[in-house]
Parts: sequence; C-alpha cells; structure tokens
Amino acid sequence: MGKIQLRNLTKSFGSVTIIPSIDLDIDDGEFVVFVGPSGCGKSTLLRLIAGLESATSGNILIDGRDVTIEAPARRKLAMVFQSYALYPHMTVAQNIAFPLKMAGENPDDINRKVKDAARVLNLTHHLERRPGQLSGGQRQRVAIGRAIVRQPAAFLFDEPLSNLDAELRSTMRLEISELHQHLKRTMIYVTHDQVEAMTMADRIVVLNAGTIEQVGSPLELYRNPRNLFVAGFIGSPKMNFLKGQAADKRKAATIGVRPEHIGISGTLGEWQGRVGAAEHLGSDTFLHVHTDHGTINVRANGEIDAARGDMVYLTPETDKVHKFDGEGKAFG
Amino acid sequence: MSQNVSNRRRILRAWHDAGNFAIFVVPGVTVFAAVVFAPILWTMWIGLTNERATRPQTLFVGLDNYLTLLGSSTFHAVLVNTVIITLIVVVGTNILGVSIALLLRLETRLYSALRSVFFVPVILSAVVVSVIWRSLLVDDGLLNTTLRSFGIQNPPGWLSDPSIALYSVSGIIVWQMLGFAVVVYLAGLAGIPKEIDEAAEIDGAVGWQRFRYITWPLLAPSFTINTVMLMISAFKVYDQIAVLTNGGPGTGATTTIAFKVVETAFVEQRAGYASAMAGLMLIIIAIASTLVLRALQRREVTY
Repeated sequence: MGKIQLRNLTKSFGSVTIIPSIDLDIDDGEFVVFVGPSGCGKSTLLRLIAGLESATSGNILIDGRDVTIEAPARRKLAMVFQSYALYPHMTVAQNIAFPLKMAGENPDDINRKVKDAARVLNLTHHLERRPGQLSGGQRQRVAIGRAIVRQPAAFLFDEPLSNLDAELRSTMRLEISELHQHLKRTMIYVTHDQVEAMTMADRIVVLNAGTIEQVGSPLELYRNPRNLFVAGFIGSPKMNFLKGQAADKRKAATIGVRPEHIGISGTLGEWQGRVGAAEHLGSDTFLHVHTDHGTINVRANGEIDAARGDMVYLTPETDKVHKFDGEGKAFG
Repeated sequence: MSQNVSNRRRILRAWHDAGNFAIFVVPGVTVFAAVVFAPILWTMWIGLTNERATRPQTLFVGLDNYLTLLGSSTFHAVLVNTVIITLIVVVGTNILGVSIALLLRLETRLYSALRSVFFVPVILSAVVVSVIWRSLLVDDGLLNTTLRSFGIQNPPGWLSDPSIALYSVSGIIVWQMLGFAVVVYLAGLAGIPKEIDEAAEIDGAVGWQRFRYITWPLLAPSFTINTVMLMISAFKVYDQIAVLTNGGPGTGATTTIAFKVVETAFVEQRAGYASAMAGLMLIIIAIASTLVLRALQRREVTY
C-alpha cells in the first residue's frame, strides 16, 4: 500500500521550468532517496508528490489512483520537514494526535495511537512538553511521530536531518532506517547529503536541473555511474576526472578514477606528481597530488607518511577506471 | 606600572560611560519627565484638591473627589458608555481585522494596494474622520437621503437617537482603527512559518479547522498587541465624541470618561473633580491593560 508512480510530471513557475518531465516508479515499501545539488528540483518533486505544489502537467498515481489534483490530506501521505514544522502551541501529545483529531478519530483510539508512537520513538516522558522545550533530535522524533500515527501510504522526508549536528544526524539516520525496517512503508527522502543517500536508500534517484540522471541502488551508482554528473556526484571524496593524454591512452574523452582506487608509490607509477597537501585522518590519508594531468586526489591508508612536497607516483586500478565519451556518457 | 595603566583605563571608561549617559539618556528622560510624568503627577495632585476657577481658595480634600466619583450615578453612566465603546471596538476591530488580513493574504496581487487603502483612516485625524462621517450620518445626510430614496420613510437617527448613537460612534471608531489591526495581523500571519501551514494542510486541517487550531493560536502576539492598543485607544476616546455627538443626544448618551473630564474641567471649570476623574481613568486603564496583557501573553508561544 504505497506504490507511487510519476508520469510525464512537469512543473514550471511562470516561464521558469523546474522539472521538464519526469517518469518514475517507486515500489511499495521501498526507501527511495532523491539526491542532487541545490536547485536541482528534488524538494519541488517531493512537494509535488505531497500535493503542496500543483503539477503543471503529467500525473501522480498512488496505488494506481490518480491523485494529481487531490488535496494533500486526501493523498494519505505524511511529510516530515527540515524545520520539523511542529505546532509550537501544542504539547508533544497534541502534536502527534493532531492529524488523527482532524480525521475525526475517537479520543480513545487517538490516545492509544499517540502512546504507541511515543513508545516507538522514546518520547513517552516528553508527551506533556511543548516543542520549544525539546532538543532538535527530540523535535524531529515528534515530527516523525506525527507522521507515523496516520499510518500513511508513504512517508515523505524533506531534508529532515539538516538542522541537526553531525553526531545527532548519524543517530537519527540509523533511527529512520530502523523505523523503515519496522514499518515496512514506502519512504521518499530528499537530501543533498550523499552519506545519508548511500547509507539509507534502497534506491537513489540522482537529479540534475529537474531531470533524472540515474536511478539505482547506492552501490550500482557508485560502481557504474551512467555519466559524468553521477560519477562526480556520488562518492566522497569526489571522483578524479582526467582528460588529454591519460584519457587518450584509454580511447576515451574523459576518464574517471575514484581517490580510493589509486595506488601510490615513491618509486614507480603511471602518473608522477608532487604532494600539495596531505590530510592525515588516522584511518585514512587524503593526498592532493599535483600532476601533469591536473590535481589528483588520492585516498591512501592511514599509515602512509607522505608529506607536502614529496614526489609520488600514482597508478589507477585498471578495472576501476571509468571511461566517458565526448558527451559525458559512460562506456566500456 | 600596569596597575596604574589599568586604573587610568577604568577612570577613562567611567568618564566615557557618564558622557554617553549624558548625551543619549538625559535629554530623553528630561523631556519625558517634563511633558508626561510631571503633568500626570500634577493632575493627580489637583485631583486631591477642591480647585475650581470660581473658588478663591483651593484646599486639600484628600480622596473626597474620588469617593464622590465612585458614588456618582453620572460617572457610572459615563463609565458604562466607555466600557461599551471599548468592548465594541476591541471585539469588532479584532474580528474584522483578522478577517480582512486573511482575505488580503489570499489575494496577493491586490495585497499592497489594499493594505494601504485599509491603513488610510489610521493616518487621518480623528476630527477629519468624524466630520466626514457626521456629514454622512446626520438625519438629512447622505445615508438617510439614500435610504429615503429607496422608500424607507423613517430611517434611523444614527447620531440623534439615544439608543443608536453610541453604537454608531463605536462603529466609526472601529472603522478608523481597523487599518492598524489589519496591519498587525498581516505581520503576524507573515511570521507564521510556511512549513507549519503546510504541515497542517497535510494533516488535514483545512478552512475553519486550520484557522481555529493553527492560525489563530499562532496569531496570539498580534491579538495581544491589537487588544491592548485598541482597549487603551477606545477607553480614552474624545475627539470622535466631541465632533459627532458632543456627548449627546439627550443627557450624555455618548459621553465617555475623557469627554466628561474635558467638560468638567473646561465647561464646569471644576479642575479638582475633573483631575480626579482623569486620575481614575488612568488607574482603570493601567489595571485593565496590565491584567489583559498578562492574560493574553500566557497564550503566546515561541517557535
């Protein structure tokens, strides 16, 4: 009960087209992440599905039912916002109960569902507090609680962890993943943070300028990016792109090599260069090496003691080199 | 050595602070004390005397004036008139203000133009507004002439019928204050985060439900400002009464406390009694606005 289909969906604001045309199928129970740079249309797409924006053309189907012109509340979706969007004048219990109250459920059922949601989200002891008295993580849990009590067909998350600090973000990331396992409901999650995308998604939808660049599992996108954009966007640190002689040798317009797929030696290798900066993180060492082909970033093990100014030799792992044609499409 | 330097710095800083105080604080405080605080104290003092233009000697009479006021049926009638006007102005202006603000928010293209239109009466002088309304509402004014042309032979005496005049005057004050309330509510609506409205929409709160459960509670700060400001303005209304009805018709059908203060002081020339009335008005406004402010601020929340 949560299959979402987008058919030729477009969105324009006046003369500005944000989403030219999108077709996408999201299966029931799937965790799909929309990822892309700022302004790529990922939040707009989510808001179109939620009904907070009206589509310029095309259709949105939920479980086969066309909901394109239906009001948000009738789509049986729940949404969690970046700013939590809690009602500040209501207690936690009232916030969670609100959608049920609007649906006209009886008070006993509402009370039971609120308590169940609070137990799942560790909010039992905060039910009588107001949002202003809670931490960021607790607020986001209340927002999730308000979403789960409705038992929606699908959950929509619009950058829900962006306002949290790094530690809380990783905790909440796990909690949302566990919640997905527990509820087994469709979840669509918008983020610009690819760590969130890679760790949480069943499938990632990479968006650029309102169009889908590639859809696939996190490892599929990492291992087989369809084009230069996806190759550059997925993976951290970013993939190195080389043109000229290094690409010509492999009969490609551009080649791409991930920093973790480059071997480093002090005596021998394909590309010679000098270390511009060395970042020792303990577990890893990031080296920025200036070569004749441009600056190449290398992710080496934490034991390496290369320092700024050292001459090094780099060799890409042959089967991990991505080749792109003149239009930026991957081949070979 | 360093001890001396530190002492010198401290002295210089003290002089600097004293200079800032003298330049920025003293002028304001002096003007405030001279034109606001001193007259209030003086009025309160006069209120404790039997000062009267025709009486050669002024004597201290303690709380006599206040006690006379509290037992006076005329003052009771005037107080009731003032309270009725205040209630109509506070309730009417708030209801119309929030309704118009909500409509203006919907009609975005007309937003700026209409906002200015609604604010115009606020910047007009109360006397000008009253003269315009008087010309419309007198027995042979535009409104009744129009009503007669539609076959209504005996249209209401908007300003001449003692049972209607008080409500007519209240309506005109509502009209004049409406722009202020609308602007405050528009600011309040603009301050409600868009996501909260959207969350409510997804949660199924539409129309009246959204207003009742989300918008209105979040407009609490605007409601507080409007209620307190309107209450104070309506309680001390004078200009409109003076121009529209001169306190009449009949024996004081529209006389308010402020109007009675002026009448007592400058027509009857009983400065002591009038000052006590003004003092009582100040005390009532101060207590009422403090109580209302405290009660309403309890509803306000922070995001």
